Amino acid sequence: MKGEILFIKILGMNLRHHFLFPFAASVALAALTPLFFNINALQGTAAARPIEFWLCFVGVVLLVSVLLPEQDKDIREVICSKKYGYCALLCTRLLYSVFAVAALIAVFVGIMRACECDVGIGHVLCGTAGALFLGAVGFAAAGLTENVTAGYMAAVLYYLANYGLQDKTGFFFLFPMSFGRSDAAGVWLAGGAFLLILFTIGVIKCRHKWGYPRIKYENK
Amino acid sequence: MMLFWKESKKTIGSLMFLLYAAALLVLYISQFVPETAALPTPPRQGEEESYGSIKKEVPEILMPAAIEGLLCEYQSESYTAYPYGFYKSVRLKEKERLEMAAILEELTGLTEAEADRFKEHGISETLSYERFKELMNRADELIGGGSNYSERYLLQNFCMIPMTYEEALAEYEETVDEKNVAESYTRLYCDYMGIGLGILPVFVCAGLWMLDKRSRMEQLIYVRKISSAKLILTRYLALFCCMMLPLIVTFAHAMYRVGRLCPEKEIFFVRAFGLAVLWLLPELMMVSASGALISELWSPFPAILLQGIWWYASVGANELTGDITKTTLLIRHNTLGAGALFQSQTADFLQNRAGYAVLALLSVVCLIVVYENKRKGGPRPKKRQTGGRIL
Repeated sequence: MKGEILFIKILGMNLRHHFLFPFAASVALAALTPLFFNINALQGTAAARPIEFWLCFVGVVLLVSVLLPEQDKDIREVICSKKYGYCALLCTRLLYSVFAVAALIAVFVGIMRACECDVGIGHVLCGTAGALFLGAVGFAAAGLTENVTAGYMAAVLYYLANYGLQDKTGFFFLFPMSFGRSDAAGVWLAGGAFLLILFTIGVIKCRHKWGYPRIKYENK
Repeated sequence: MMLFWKESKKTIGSLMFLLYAAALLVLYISQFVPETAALPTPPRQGEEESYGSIKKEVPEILMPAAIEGLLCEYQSESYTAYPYGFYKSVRLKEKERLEMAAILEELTGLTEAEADRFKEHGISETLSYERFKELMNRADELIGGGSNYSERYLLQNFCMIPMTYEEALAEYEETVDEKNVAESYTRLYCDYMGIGLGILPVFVCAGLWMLDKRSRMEQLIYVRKISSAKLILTRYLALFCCMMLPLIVTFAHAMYRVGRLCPEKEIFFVRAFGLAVLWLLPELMMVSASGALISELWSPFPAILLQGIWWYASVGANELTGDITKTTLLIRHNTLGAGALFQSQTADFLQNRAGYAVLALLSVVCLIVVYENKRKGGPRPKKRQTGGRIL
């Protein structure tokens, strides 16, 4: 019971202090979509483009920002000394962030449907998987280097690589529906995102337990 | 000078810079290098479809095509427009619709009920080209600007004419001419590298600008004797010079490859270098300055977010070739040819780049003011209150 109360307390505190700004930013990103893409009466592959080409950044904003508060080394050390544990805290934040990504994309797909676009549940699932995978790439880079900026950069580079390499990214191609592939490709993206996040949390846990592996990346 | 070297060393040793350099290198190798494998082949007679098309002002072709386009959009009650470079579907209100009907009546010489006969009837016999252009401008105003009938898009949409063999040959010869070949390849080089430079520098700036804060050195630096202007300018200059290094290396390699393509020709490298400097440096200056300013004002996150949106908008707003405007951050020219088209837009190109260079310098001045203000203990972003609880 005590554990549950602690979880709810921590969840509330994090939602209040560390979630609102990234969430507002991702809502703003979603709201900007009609500026870049037409979202009226789209059919076939064209209907997937706004979701896969633009909304995937929602995942980057929400997932990488999970590591943002502990960029301050002192705060990180205090949090690591707490009973709840840093990794448990990260999982809590990831939980609501993943939910927020899915919810935002679902709402957006709903809006597209209202605008007479030919979209359905497959677009929600595959779009969410793509956003989560791109976010997980950023999360992994940020977690491994302990630098959130590197996380954002890695995600943008992976996005650009998907433009240039396309098929060479294989199962982890970010725009499967826009290129006429089945939305089942989302399973690979979701699985890849899960494994990347798991790996990163594992490394962070080892780092806190034994002090390594650590990447030295900047001259002081 | 000492500080400049220290800052440069810090930049070059940072992970963000290494990622930036690697990304530019990959962009260069994957996109530009394959283009320098061989000179383009000259056009062959009889292969008309491979010559491409050219934008030409021919009233006899332009007028019927544009009027037919406007008529189709009028009948479907939906007009395509790109008011800020982005797609918009416009529906006119009743008053505007009536005015559009009057414009079409004057253009076609047919009433609304007779409009279906346009194909057989053609355009109004009394319509002059000047009047046509006036009416198209008015139609564009009614739609809200940026429509297919605006001055910017009219020729591009309705008057792209297939090139003749002679025109294609002339363009080819101009491209590979010893005076122009280096410039032709430089335009393509700048097009590719410009895409990367529109976003990548912001990560390096945002990451490094916050290093003081992360290392808890902020207060220590504030109390130093050095003036804010000197500190910021030295840092900015060091950052800027370091970020130029990958460009210098790749450009030198690009010119070496161009030289190998035409060993018998005397290549004008200096002009090509001048073009690359004019094209890429203002962009690098602007992205670095805005990234540093927003990071200093708030934090790296909004700097990256805003730059990302600006970059995405710039990439999408322009045509791949021949669409240089006074305002867009990224200038595109994704072809080896079309040198004459580029020359015809030189004034816009120069105004655009000069504008960004000035804006970048203004951003640096703002950055100095913000830093000085912080140093004097002026207002800073409020820290969020968590009631003493960290979790």
